[in-house]
Amino acid sequence: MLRYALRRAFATVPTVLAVSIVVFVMLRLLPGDPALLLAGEDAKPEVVESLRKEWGLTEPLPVQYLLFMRNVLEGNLGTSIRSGYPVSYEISLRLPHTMRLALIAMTIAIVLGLAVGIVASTRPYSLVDNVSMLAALVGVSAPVFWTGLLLMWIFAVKLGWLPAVGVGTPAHLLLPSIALAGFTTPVIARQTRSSMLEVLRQDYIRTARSKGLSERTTITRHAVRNALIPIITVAGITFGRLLGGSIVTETVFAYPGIGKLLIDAIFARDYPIIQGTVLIYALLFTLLNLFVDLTYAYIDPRIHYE
Amino acid sequence: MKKKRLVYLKFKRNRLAVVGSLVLSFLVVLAIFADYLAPYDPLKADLSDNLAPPSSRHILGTDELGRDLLSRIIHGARISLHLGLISVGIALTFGILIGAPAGYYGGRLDNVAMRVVDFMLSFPTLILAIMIVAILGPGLTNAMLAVGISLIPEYARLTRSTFLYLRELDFVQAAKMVGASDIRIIFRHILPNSLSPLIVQSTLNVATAILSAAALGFLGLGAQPPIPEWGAMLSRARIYLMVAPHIVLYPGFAIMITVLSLNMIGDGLRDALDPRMT
Repeated sequence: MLRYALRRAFATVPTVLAVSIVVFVMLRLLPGDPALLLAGEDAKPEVVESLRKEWGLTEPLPVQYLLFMRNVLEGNLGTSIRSGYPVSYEISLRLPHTMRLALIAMTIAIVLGLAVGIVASTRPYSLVDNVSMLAALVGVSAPVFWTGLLLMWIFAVKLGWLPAVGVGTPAHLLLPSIALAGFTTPVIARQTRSSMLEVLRQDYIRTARSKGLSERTTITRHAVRNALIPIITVAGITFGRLLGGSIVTETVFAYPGIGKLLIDAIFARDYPIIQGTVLIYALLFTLLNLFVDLTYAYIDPRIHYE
Repeated sequence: MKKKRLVYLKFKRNRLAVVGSLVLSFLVVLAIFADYLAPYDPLKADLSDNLAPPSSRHILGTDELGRDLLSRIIHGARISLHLGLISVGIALTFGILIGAPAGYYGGRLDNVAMRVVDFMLSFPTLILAIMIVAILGPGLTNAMLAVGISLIPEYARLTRSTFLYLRELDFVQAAKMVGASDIRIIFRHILPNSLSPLIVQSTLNVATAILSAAALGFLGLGAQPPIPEWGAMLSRARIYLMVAPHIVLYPGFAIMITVLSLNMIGDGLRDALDPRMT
C-alpha cells in the first residue's frame, strides 16, 4: 500500500510540471506587455527596457521558464502589479478563506448527499425518493450565482438573519457554503442512490439478509462499502466543480478568497497574481485527485495489487 | 421491434423527460422567433422607467436601464441555446478527433493523447474556461470557445473508451478481414454504433455549457453589455437586489428552467438507451 502511494505520488510530478509550463506560457500569451503596463504608457523606452531586463523578459523563453521554476520552488511567485505585495503573500491571506468555505461545503455535500442517497435507494420509487431526486435535479440545474443571490435576498436582506458579504464570523460562512452545497449535494445524492441500487441487487446482500442480519446492519456494513467507489469518483469531480463554483460564489458574496483574487486580477491585468492563483488551483486539484486515488486503494485492496 | 422505436417508447414513459422536451421545444421556439415574440426591443433603453416592477405594460418589469425584461429574457434564450450548441459542437468534434484514433489504434498514439487529455483534466472545468477567456479576452465568441475547449477532454475520454470496446467486436473484425480501410471502418462501422453515449453526454453537456457560459457572463468575462445574455444580466442586476429583486429573479429562473429541461431530457435519454432497463 505504501509503495503504491509513493508510486502514485510520483506520478503527479509530470502533471505538475506540465501545469507549470502551461501557466507560464499562458502568462506570456496574455495580452499586454507587463513592463509597459507597470511603467506606464508615457515612460521612457530606457525605463521600460530596464524593467524588462530586471524581470528577465529579454531572455529566451526556455531560460525564462527555468528562472520562473527556480523562483517558484523558492516560494517566490512574483509581485502583484496592483498592490506591490508578493503574490505568495496575497494568496496566503486568502487561501485559508477559500479552503474553509470549500471544506465546509464539501462536508455538507458528502454527509447530506450520502444520507439522502442511501435513504432514497432503500425506498425506491417512493415519495421520499421521487421528491428528493427531483429536488436534486433542480439543485444541479440552478446556477450557483443565482441561488447565492436568492439566499442573500431571503436571509440577509429580507430577514436580516445572516450577513450578506465579507468575512469575520462563522455566520459569514453560512450563506456561501449553503449556496455551494446547493449544487454539489445533489450530485453526490444521485450517484449514491444509483450506486446503492446496483449494490442492493447483488447476491451478497441477499445472503446477508437471509443470514438474519437486520436491515440496518446489512446496509451499513455491506451495501454502503461496496457502493462507495463510484461515489468517491464523483465526489472528486464534484470537488473540482466546487472549486470552480467557489470563484463565482466568492464574487457574489464579496468573500475574500483566492477566487475573488483571481477575478479581480484578471480585470486589473495583474498577471503575476493570475499566474499564481491558477497554479494554486491546479495544484489543489492535482492533490485532490491523488487523495481520491489513494482512498480507492485504501478501500479496495484489489487496486494496488497490480 | 426496431431499436429506435423501443428507445422512443421508453423515453415517452418517463414523465420528466417528456415535460423537459416540451419545455425545451417552447424555449427553442422562443429562441428562433425572438424577434417576433418579444414585445419590445431588448436593447432599447428608457431611463425614465427603469427598475420598474412587473406591470401590465412590462410583464416582467424593466431592468436598470429601462429595457423590457421579458424581451431581454426571450432574446437571451436564443443566445444561451446558441452558446450551448456551439460549445458542445466544438467539444464533440475535437473530442472525437482525439478520442477515436486513440481508442482505435491504441499504443503510443493513445498514450500521448490521453496524457494531453489528463493534463487538461488537471484543471477544474470552469477554471480552464476562465484561463482561456483571460487569454483571449472577454466576449461572447471567446466564451463559446473557452467553454467548448474545456469540455473536450470528456468527449475524448468517452469516445476513446467506446472505441476501445467496439473495435474488438465481431462486425469490426469482419470488416477488417474483408479489407476495409481504417477510415471506412471508423466512420461507417464504429462511429454510428458509438452514438448512444455521445448523444446522452451531449444533451447533458449543453446544459453544463449553458451554466458555464452564464457563469462567465456573470463574472463579466463572457457576453458584454448590452447583449442580453442571462448570466451577464444577473451580474448587472446584483447591485439592485434590494430595490428591484425581479431583475435578479427572472433571468436566473430562465437559466434554471433551460438547464433543468435539458437535464431531464438527458436523464430520460440515458435511461431509454440503457440496454439493461426495460
